[in-house]
Amino acid sequence: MMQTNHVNHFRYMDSLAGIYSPDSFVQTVVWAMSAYRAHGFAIGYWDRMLRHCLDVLKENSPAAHDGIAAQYRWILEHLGDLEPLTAPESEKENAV
Amino acid sequence: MTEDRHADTAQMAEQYQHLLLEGNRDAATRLVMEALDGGLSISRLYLEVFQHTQHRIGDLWQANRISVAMEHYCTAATQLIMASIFPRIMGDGSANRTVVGCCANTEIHELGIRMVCDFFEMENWTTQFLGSGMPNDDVVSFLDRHNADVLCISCTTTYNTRRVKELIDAVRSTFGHKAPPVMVGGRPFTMAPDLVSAVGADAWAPDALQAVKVGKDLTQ
Repeated sequence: MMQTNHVNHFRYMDSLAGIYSPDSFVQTVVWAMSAYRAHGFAIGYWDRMLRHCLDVLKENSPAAHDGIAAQYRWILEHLGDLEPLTAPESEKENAV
Repeated sequence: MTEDRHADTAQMAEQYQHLLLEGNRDAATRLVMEALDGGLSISRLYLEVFQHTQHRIGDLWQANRISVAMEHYCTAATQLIMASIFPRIMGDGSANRTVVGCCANTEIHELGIRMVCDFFEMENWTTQFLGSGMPNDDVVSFLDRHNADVLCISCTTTYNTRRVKELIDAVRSTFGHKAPPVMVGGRPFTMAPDLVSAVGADAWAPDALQAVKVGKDLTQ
Protein backbone atom coordinates (compact mmCIF):
# COMPACT_ATOMS: atom_id res chain seq x y z
CA MET A 1 0.00 0.00 0.00
CA MET A 2 2.93 2.32 0.68
CA GLN A 3 4.15 1.82 -2.87
CA THR A 4 0.67 2.62 -4.20
CA ASN A 5 0.58 5.67 -1.98
CA HIS A 6 3.86 6.90 -3.36
CA VAL A 7 2.75 6.41 -6.96
CA ASN A 8 -0.60 8.12 -6.37
CA HIS A 9 1.06 10.85 -4.36
CA PHE A 10 3.34 11.86 -7.21
CA ARG A 11 0.57 11.51 -9.77
CA TYR A 12 -1.38 13.94 -7.63
CA MET A 13 1.51 16.37 -7.33
CA ASP A 14 1.90 16.21 -11.11
CA SER A 15 -1.79 17.01 -11.51
CA LEU A 16 -1.48 19.80 -8.96
CA ALA A 17 1.34 21.35 -10.98
CA GLY A 18 -1.07 21.69 -13.92
CA ILE A 19 -4.25 22.60 -12.05
CA TYR A 20 -4.12 24.23 -8.65
CA SER A 21 -7.18 24.70 -6.51
CA PRO A 22 -6.54 25.48 -2.83
CA ASP A 23 -9.90 23.96 -1.86
CA SER A 24 -9.18 20.76 -3.71
CA PHE A 25 -5.65 20.58 -2.34
CA VAL A 26 -6.69 20.84 1.32
CA GLN A 27 -9.60 18.43 0.93
CA THR A 28 -7.46 15.92 -0.95
CA VAL A 29 -4.76 16.03 1.73
CA VAL A 30 -7.36 15.43 4.45
CA TRP A 31 -9.01 12.63 2.48
CA ALA A 32 -5.78 10.84 1.60
CA MET A 33 -4.30 11.21 5.07
CA SER A 34 -7.51 9.89 6.65
CA ALA A 35 -7.53 6.88 4.32
CA TYR A 36 -3.91 5.95 4.88
CA ARG A 37 -4.02 6.50 8.64
CA ALA A 38 -7.06 4.19 8.80
CA HIS A 39 -4.84 1.62 7.08
CA GLY A 40 -2.13 1.91 9.72
CA PHE A 41 0.10 4.76 8.57
CA ALA A 42 1.38 6.94 11.43
CA ILE A 43 1.21 10.73 11.17
CA GLY A 44 5.01 10.77 11.43
CA TYR A 45 5.17 9.02 8.04
CA TRP A 46 4.33 12.27 6.21
CA ASP A 47 6.75 14.27 8.33
CA ARG A 48 9.61 12.03 7.21
CA MET A 49 8.43 11.33 3.67
CA LEU A 50 7.75 14.94 2.68
CA ARG A 51 11.01 16.23 4.16
CA HIS A 52 12.90 13.45 2.38
CA CYS A 53 11.15 14.25 -0.92
CA LEU A 54 12.08 17.92 -0.58
CA ASP A 55 15.73 16.97 -0.01
CA VAL A 56 15.82 14.56 -2.94
CA LEU A 57 14.11 16.99 -5.30
CA LYS A 58 16.29 19.89 -4.25
CA GLU A 59 19.36 17.87 -5.09
CA ASN A 60 18.12 16.22 -8.30
CA SER A 61 15.42 18.45 -9.74
CA PRO A 62 15.51 22.01 -8.43
CA ALA A 63 12.69 23.07 -10.79
CA ALA A 64 10.37 20.35 -9.46
CA HIS A 65 11.41 21.26 -5.93
CA ASP A 66 10.51 24.88 -6.44
CA GLY A 67 7.20 23.85 -7.98
CA ILE A 68 5.91 21.85 -5.05
CA ALA A 69 7.89 23.09 -2.03
CA ALA A 70 5.14 25.51 -0.96
CA GLN A 71 2.51 22.75 -0.85
CA TYR A 72 4.79 20.34 1.00
CA ARG A 73 5.73 23.02 3.53
CA TRP A 74 2.05 23.79 4.09
CA ILE A 75 1.37 20.15 4.93
CA LEU A 76 4.43 19.96 7.19
CA GLU A 77 3.48 23.15 9.01
CA HIS A 78 -0.09 21.90 9.54
CA LEU A 79 0.59 18.31 10.57
CA GLY A 80 -0.43 19.24 14.11
CA ASP A 81 -3.82 20.43 12.84
CA LEU A 82 -4.20 17.54 10.45
CA GLU A 83 -3.48 14.90 13.10
CA PRO A 84 -6.82 15.09 14.97
CA LEU A 85 -8.70 15.92 11.77
CA THR A 86 -7.55 12.74 10.03
CA ALA A 87 -7.48 10.38 13.01
CA PRO A 88 -9.00 6.92 12.43
CA GLU A 89 -12.36 6.28 14.10
CA SER A 90 -10.73 3.89 16.60
CA GLU A 91 -8.36 6.61 17.81
CA LYS A 92 -11.18 9.15 18.04
CA GLU A 93 -13.21 6.72 20.15
CA ASN A 94 -10.25 6.12 22.47
CA ALA A 95 -9.75 9.86 22.87
CA VAL A 96 -13.31 10.36 24.16
CA MET B 1 -48.50 6.03 -7.03
CA THR B 2 -46.74 2.69 -7.15
CA GLU B 3 -43.52 4.41 -6.12
CA ASP B 4 -45.05 5.16 -2.73
CA ARG B 5 -44.62 1.51 -1.88
CA HIS B 6 -40.88 2.04 -2.21
CA ALA B 7 -40.66 5.38 -0.46
CA ASP B 8 -38.11 3.95 1.93
CA THR B 9 -35.30 3.40 -0.53
CA ALA B 10 -32.89 4.15 2.32
CA GLN B 11 -33.89 0.85 3.88
CA MET B 12 -33.50 -0.90 0.55
CA ALA B 13 -30.06 0.64 0.11
CA GLU B 14 -29.02 -0.69 3.53
CA GLN B 15 -30.28 -4.12 2.58
CA TYR B 16 -28.57 -3.99 -0.81
CA GLN B 17 -25.27 -2.97 0.75
CA HIS B 18 -25.58 -5.68 3.39
CA LEU B 19 -26.18 -8.38 0.77
CA LEU B 20 -23.21 -7.25 -1.32
CA LEU B 21 -20.91 -7.16 1.69
CA GLU B 22 -22.04 -10.71 2.47
CA GLY B 23 -20.93 -11.65 -1.03
CA ASN B 24 -24.51 -12.47 -1.95
CA ARG B 25 -24.80 -10.92 -5.39
CA ASP B 26 -27.70 -13.15 -6.41
CA ALA B 27 -29.86 -12.04 -3.49
CA ALA B 28 -28.93 -8.41 -4.18
CA THR B 29 -30.01 -8.90 -7.78
CA ARG B 30 -33.33 -10.42 -6.69
CA LEU B 31 -33.88 -7.49 -4.32
CA VAL B 32 -33.45 -5.06 -7.20
CA MET B 33 -35.58 -6.98 -9.67
CA GLU B 34 -38.43 -7.40 -7.20
CA ALA B 35 -38.34 -3.67 -6.39
CA LEU B 36 -38.44 -2.77 -10.08
CA ASP B 37 -41.28 -5.19 -10.72
CA GLY B 38 -43.06 -3.58 -7.76
CA GLY B 39 -42.87 -0.15 -9.33
CA LEU B 40 -39.62 1.42 -8.18
CA SER B 41 -38.34 3.76 -10.88
CA ILE B 42 -34.92 3.11 -12.32
CA SER B 43 -33.84 6.69 -11.67
CA ARG B 44 -34.56 6.29 -7.95
CA LEU B 45 -32.88 2.90 -7.95
CA TYR B 46 -29.75 4.42 -9.46
CA LEU B 47 -29.58 7.53 -7.27
CA GLU B 48 -30.98 6.32 -3.96
CA VAL B 49 -29.72 2.75 -3.94
CA PHE B 50 -26.76 2.28 -6.30
CA GLN B 51 -25.14 5.71 -5.91
CA HIS B 52 -25.75 5.77 -2.17
CA THR B 53 -24.27 2.30 -1.81
CA GLN B 54 -21.21 3.15 -3.91
CA HIS B 55 -20.48 6.16 -1.70
CA ARG B 56 -20.87 4.04 1.43
CA ILE B 57 -18.61 1.32 -0.01
CA GLY B 58 -15.96 3.97 -0.73
CA ASP B 59 -16.26 5.27 2.82
CA LEU B 60 -15.87 1.75 4.20
CA TRP B 61 -12.67 1.23 2.19
CA GLN B 62 -11.32 4.57 3.36
CA ALA B 63 -12.00 3.59 6.98
CA ASN B 64 -10.26 0.23 6.40
CA ARG B 65 -13.44 -1.70 7.15
CA ILE B 66 -13.47 -3.49 3.78
CA SER B 67 -10.72 -4.53 1.37
CA VAL B 68 -10.08 -3.36 -2.17
CA ALA B 69 -11.28 -6.79 -3.30
CA MET B 70 -14.63 -6.32 -1.57
CA GLU B 71 -14.95 -2.80 -2.95
CA HIS B 72 -14.38 -4.11 -6.46
CA TYR B 73 -16.78 -7.02 -5.91
CA CYS B 74 -19.56 -4.64 -4.89
CA THR B 75 -18.90 -2.34 -7.85
CA ALA B 76 -18.78 -5.25 -10.29
CA ALA B 77 -22.04 -6.65 -8.91
CA THR B 78 -23.78 -3.30 -9.36
CA GLN B 79 -22.39 -2.96 -12.89
CA LEU B 80 -23.70 -6.42 -13.71
CA ILE B 81 -27.17 -5.55 -12.42
CA MET B 82 -27.16 -2.26 -14.33
CA ALA B 83 -26.25 -4.13 -17.51
CA SER B 84 -29.03 -6.65 -16.94
CA ILE B 85 -31.69 -3.95 -16.58
CA PHE B 86 -30.44 -1.88 -19.54
CA PRO B 87 -33.14 -3.31 -21.88
CA ARG B 88 -35.73 -1.68 -19.59
CA ILE B 89 -34.26 1.79 -20.14
CA MET B 90 -33.25 1.64 -23.80
CA GLY B 91 -34.52 4.74 -25.54
CA ASP B 92 -35.52 5.28 -29.17
CA GLY B 93 -33.15 8.13 -29.93
CA SER B 94 -36.08 10.46 -30.50
CA ALA B 95 -34.36 13.33 -28.68
CA ASN B 96 -32.12 13.56 -31.75
CA ARG B 97 -29.12 14.30 -29.60
CA THR B 98 -26.00 12.28 -28.93
CA VAL B 99 -23.94 12.18 -25.76
CA VAL B 100 -20.52 10.59 -25.46
CA GLY B 101 -19.44 9.60 -21.95
CA CYS B 102 -15.99 8.54 -20.83
CA CYS B 103 -13.33 8.80 -18.16
CA ALA B 104 -9.98 10.51 -18.64
CA ASN B 105 -7.19 8.21 -19.74
CA THR B 106 -5.84 7.18 -16.35
CA GLU B 107 -9.18 7.04 -14.55
CA ILE B 108 -10.42 3.53 -13.78
CA HIS B 109 -13.72 4.30 -12.03
CA GLU B 110 -16.46 4.17 -14.65
CA LEU B 111 -19.67 3.40 -12.77
CA GLY B 112 -20.58 7.09 -12.41
CA ILE B 113 -20.30 7.88 -16.11
CA ARG B 114 -22.21 4.69 -16.89
CA MET B 115 -25.05 6.00 -14.73
CA VAL B 116 -24.91 9.36 -16.49
CA CYS B 117 -25.17 7.72 -19.92
CA ASP B 118 -28.08 5.57 -18.74
CA PHE B 119 -29.96 8.67 -17.56
CA PHE B 120 -29.47 10.25 -20.99
CA GLU B 121 -30.67 6.98 -22.53
CA MET B 122 -33.84 7.21 -20.46
CA GLU B 123 -34.42 10.65 -22.02
CA ASN B 124 -34.12 9.14 -25.51
CA TRP B 125 -30.70 10.52 -26.29
CA THR B 126 -28.35 8.38 -28.35
CA THR B 127 -25.69 7.40 -25.83
CA GLN B 128 -22.13 6.35 -26.52
CA PHE B 129 -20.57 5.02 -23.34
CA LEU B 130 -16.81 4.59 -23.75
CA GLY B 131 -15.90 3.76 -20.16
CA SER B 132 -12.64 4.16 -18.32
CA GLY B 133 -9.06 4.82 -19.34
CA MET B 134 -9.77 6.46 -22.70
CA PRO B 135 -6.75 7.73 -24.69
CA ASN B 136 -7.27 11.34 -25.77
CA ASP B 137 -6.71 10.64 -29.48
CA ASP B 138 -9.28 7.85 -29.45
CA VAL B 139 -11.90 10.07 -27.85
CA VAL B 140 -11.24 12.75 -30.46
CA SER B 141 -11.56 10.23 -33.31
CA PHE B 142 -14.75 8.84 -31.82
CA LEU B 143 -16.27 12.30 -31.48
CA ASP B 144 -15.37 13.01 -35.09
CA ARG B 145 -17.22 9.91 -36.29
CA HIS B 146 -20.27 10.15 -34.06
CA ASN B 147 -21.14 13.84 -34.18
CA ALA B 148 -21.60 14.22 -30.43
CA ASP B 149 -23.76 17.03 -29.09
CA VAL B 150 -22.27 16.78 -25.59
CA LEU B 151 -19.13 15.17 -24.20
CA CYS B 152 -19.32 14.05 -20.56
CA ILE B 153 -16.07 13.31 -18.74
CA SER B 154 -16.02 11.63 -15.34
CA CYS B 155 -13.19 11.85 -12.83
CA THR B 156 -13.21 10.10 -9.46
CA THR B 157 -9.63 10.48 -8.26
CA THR B 158 -8.19 13.94 -7.76
CA TYR B 159 -4.87 13.04 -9.35
CA ASN B 160 -6.65 12.59 -12.69
CA THR B 161 -7.99 16.15 -12.96
CA ARG B 162 -5.01 17.18 -15.06
CA ARG B 163 -5.81 14.33 -17.47
CA VAL B 164 -9.36 15.74 -17.79
CA LYS B 165 -7.91 19.11 -18.79
CA GLU B 166 -5.62 17.46 -21.34
CA LEU B 167 -8.58 15.63 -22.90
CA ILE B 168 -10.63 18.83 -23.09
CA ASP B 169 -7.65 20.66 -24.60
CA ALA B 170 -7.28 17.90 -27.21
CA VAL B 171 -10.96 18.14 -28.15
CA ARG B 172 -10.89 21.92 -28.39
CA SER B 173 -7.66 22.05 -30.39
CA THR B 174 -9.03 19.49 -32.86
CA PHE B 175 -12.54 20.81 -33.40
CA GLY B 176 -12.14 24.49 -32.55
CA HIS B 177 -15.50 26.29 -32.39
CA LYS B 178 -17.21 23.09 -33.59
CA ALA B 179 -16.17 21.20 -30.46
CA PRO B 180 -19.11 19.79 -28.51
CA PRO B 181 -19.76 21.36 -25.13
CA VAL B 182 -18.02 19.48 -22.33
CA MET B 183 -19.58 18.55 -19.01
CA VAL B 184 -17.52 17.12 -16.16
CA GLY B 185 -18.48 15.32 -13.00
CA GLY B 186 -17.08 13.30 -10.14
CA ARG B 187 -15.79 13.72 -6.63
CA PRO B 188 -12.98 16.25 -7.32
CA PHE B 189 -15.47 18.67 -8.89
CA THR B 190 -18.00 18.16 -6.12
CA MET B 191 -15.31 18.88 -3.53
CA ALA B 192 -13.95 21.94 -5.31
CA PRO B 193 -16.24 23.43 -7.99
CA ASP B 194 -13.51 25.90 -9.04
CA LEU B 195 -11.85 22.93 -10.77
CA VAL B 196 -14.61 22.96 -13.40
CA SER B 197 -13.35 26.15 -15.02
CA ALA B 198 -9.74 25.21 -14.26
CA VAL B 199 -9.99 22.14 -16.51
CA GLY B 200 -11.78 24.18 -19.17
CA ALA B 201 -15.19 22.49 -18.98
CA ASP B 202 -18.39 24.25 -19.98
CA ALA B 203 -20.44 22.81 -17.15
CA TRP B 204 -20.59 20.22 -14.39
CA ALA B 205 -23.26 18.16 -12.73
CA PRO B 206 -23.33 16.65 -9.25
CA ASP B 207 -25.21 13.51 -10.33
CA ALA B 208 -26.73 11.73 -13.30
CA LEU B 209 -30.16 13.35 -12.96
CA GLN B 210 -28.67 16.85 -13.00
CA ALA B 211 -26.36 15.86 -15.85
CA VAL B 212 -29.33 15.35 -18.17
CA LYS B 213 -30.77 18.75 -17.24
CA VAL B 214 -27.41 20.40 -17.85
CA GLY B 215 -27.05 18.47 -21.12
CA LYS B 216 -30.38 19.83 -22.34
CA ASP B 217 -29.36 23.37 -21.41
CA LEU B 218 -26.07 23.00 -23.24
CA THR B 219 -27.76 21.91 -26.44
CA GLN B 220 -30.63 24.40 -26.58
